[in-house]
Amino acid sequence: MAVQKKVDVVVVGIGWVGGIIAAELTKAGLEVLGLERGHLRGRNTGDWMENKFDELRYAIRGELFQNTANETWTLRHNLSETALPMRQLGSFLPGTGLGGAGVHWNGQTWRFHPRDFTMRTSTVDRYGSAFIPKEMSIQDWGITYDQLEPYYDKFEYMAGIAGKAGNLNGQKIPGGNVFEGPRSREFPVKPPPDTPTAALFRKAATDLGYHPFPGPTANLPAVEYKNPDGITRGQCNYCGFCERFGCEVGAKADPTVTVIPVALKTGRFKMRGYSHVFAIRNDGKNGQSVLYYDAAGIVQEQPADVIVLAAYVFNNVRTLLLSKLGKPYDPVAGTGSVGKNYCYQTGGGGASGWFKSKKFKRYMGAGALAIGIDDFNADNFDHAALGFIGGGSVTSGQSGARPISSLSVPPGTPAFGRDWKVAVRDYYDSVMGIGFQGESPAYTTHFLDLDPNYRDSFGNPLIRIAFDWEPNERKMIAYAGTKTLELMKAINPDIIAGGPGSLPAHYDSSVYQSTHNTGGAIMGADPATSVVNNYLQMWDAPNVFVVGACNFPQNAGFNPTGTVGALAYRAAEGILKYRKTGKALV
Amino acid sequence: MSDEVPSKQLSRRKLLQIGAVSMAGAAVAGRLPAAEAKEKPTKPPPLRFLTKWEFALVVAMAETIWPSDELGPGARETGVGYYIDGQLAGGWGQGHRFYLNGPFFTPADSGHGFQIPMTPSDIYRAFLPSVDQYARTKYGGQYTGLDAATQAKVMTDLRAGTASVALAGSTAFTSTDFFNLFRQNVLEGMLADPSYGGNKNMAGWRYVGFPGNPMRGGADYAKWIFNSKPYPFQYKPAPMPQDVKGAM
Repeated sequence: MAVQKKVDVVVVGIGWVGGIIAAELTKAGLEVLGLERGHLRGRNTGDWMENKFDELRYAIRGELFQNTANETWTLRHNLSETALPMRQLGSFLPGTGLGGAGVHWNGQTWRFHPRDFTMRTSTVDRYGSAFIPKEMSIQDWGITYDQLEPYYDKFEYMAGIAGKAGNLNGQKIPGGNVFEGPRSREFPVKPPPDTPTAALFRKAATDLGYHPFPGPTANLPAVEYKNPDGITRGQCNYCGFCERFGCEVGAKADPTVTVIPVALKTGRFKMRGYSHVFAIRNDGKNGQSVLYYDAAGIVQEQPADVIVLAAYVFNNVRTLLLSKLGKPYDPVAGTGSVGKNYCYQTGGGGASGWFKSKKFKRYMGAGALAIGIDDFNADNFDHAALGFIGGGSVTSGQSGARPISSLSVPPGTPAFGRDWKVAVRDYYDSVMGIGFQGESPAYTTHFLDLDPNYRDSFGNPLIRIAFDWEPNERKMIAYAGTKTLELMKAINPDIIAGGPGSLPAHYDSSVYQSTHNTGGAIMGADPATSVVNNYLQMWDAPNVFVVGACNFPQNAGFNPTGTVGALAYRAAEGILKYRKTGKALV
Repeated sequence: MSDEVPSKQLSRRKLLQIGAVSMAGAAVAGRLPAAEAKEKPTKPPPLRFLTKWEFALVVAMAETIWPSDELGPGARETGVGYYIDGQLAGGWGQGHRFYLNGPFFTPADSGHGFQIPMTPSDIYRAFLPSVDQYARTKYGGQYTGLDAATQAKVMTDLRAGTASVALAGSTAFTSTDFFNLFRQNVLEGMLADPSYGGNKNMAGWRYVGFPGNPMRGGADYAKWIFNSKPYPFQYKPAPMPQDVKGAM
């Protein structure tokens, strides 16, 4: 094993988190090395122009995603079941290579609600502790919305997020999301206008007394935006090849066109590709180095003063477990915290409407081009009589109808043959949907650990996921379906599908739902029940920072990237503070 | 494409480079009008995975999913069989991204997806004879020889899982699983970029009204997406931009 030259900071994974932290630390004068398991990609945005409009290559075969032949995950629905591997990608699509999943994301950029950060306390205050199911292990975050607001602001101005504030310094503003926490200033970029389907949604929601607003988007609708780092990006083409694709014009904020170039420009950021980190060498008090496989599969050691785990949820947790750093969560004894509170995103409860005489040009679109209401998210509505906790965002978007995946026919249409073919033609461009993206509360039996049976191509155990749908979420989705149906009825298409939503008998790892996996290295105020403090610094090793959606104690009813970005800026500040004191920050 | 190529200035080699040779074979000679050139039978591309017999069955089954009629060409005419053959021969069909490490178990409950040590090409090879056997036993003839209505009945049985054909026991990989896999492959063959061998002349895109390469009109979607006016692509979709210098 070769030992590489020591650096100030080593960052494991160069996506949004790694890119932000690298940019902030190198600007402050530190030497940072990024280790990326995948290709350093080397593509400029123009390279995407030549061959990116290829639904099969990117959206279906998944060129930008983790290769499950080398490394996958196993799933069990309960603790008595033997976990089985996900033998191909399905439920979620983590990225690989420079920029990570930040290259192929849609760009929906939310802030979580103030209540989301104090979920247990807020729920107990409003409904009493008996309202929380016994197995539900929701926790407060150890940080408040107000504390995190400056970091949200920083991320949004760096990425040029477009939207309309609904709450400026406590003043509610119609037209924005009036349920959001107070913003210190308006979005950096004005939102795009309504598409024809968004206009239908806006009218229906307004007529019903709800509060529609444009979805916050990282797909730049302005002609140009120059961010505080001096990076200029151009306007979105609405090409419709957004999620699962790279952006050919850099209009979608992604790490490769924002923070990574800023870090590289300092001359203090170095990147090493095909460097697959699997462990932190440590003495139980601090990390000394990271161990990784190089392109030849040979183990290398990289010492650093500060170690930052900035990979996707599963790999951050797996690295801690393989390093024996922190105490693994034990669901039976209720001890330990590494792997605890794995959560997801609860989908379902949507409605669809087909029109006989309208065409929407659905092939045009952008990943985050949407309108929504927040009236049924979080605790924005009274749950007392409903018997469940949580809610979700209701949105209707136009993200681009790539044809293989976007044929939509009314219920009752045959699955093949002439009648199906007729419906395919009649409705491909004449359908709109209303979706619900629900919260995923934590449970004592939902967690991550190392699988005893299955290994990756290097011989290390895979992450084992314990997860299933619980009664609380089933009730939530049933309720959500009645609300999206109400909206769709008000829009009044010729044919409607909707009604009380339902979840399958078990969580299905083979069907795409959402790449919003969270938890396993959660933040909190108590070392006994969390892995990191509110600077994302490990309680058990002050020179190790673990950052990402793995920090969420439970998942909110919004896409996670805005909050991930905010936490990355918070962590960067914490690392700079730690460099001065050399101590635990909390 | 052939009538857009200034054939007099282009060598056959150049045409090969831009991938226009099969359509442009006649145009190169500079004598035959385009319409006549289209009628001239072209030699089918070689099969890379499927046998001739398997290919005929795949094409017939694909035609049952997406039939040819007066509304537009179906799977046979648009090359879906060649698309599927190419996919089975390539990385996906060979399971390059499939995790195939053991041990294998029959799942105790739903939600675990494929749990068998087979690649898509293995599955096609193992399943196709069973489909034909089922057609002969239940409906009295090879699938390719049945009339369209009876072929649809076979397909309905496969989809419903009532066809007594399954791999590795009754639950691990059912005829419903095969139907879903096959139908997905047919949709891909109809609607993927023509460079993959299907969607010939962009017939699938023309049929549903998908314009293909969004840059063909000069990246002008921003002018159209926020209004209700019809986009004037006039059913002349375009494939991905091709890097001519790097082709072949």
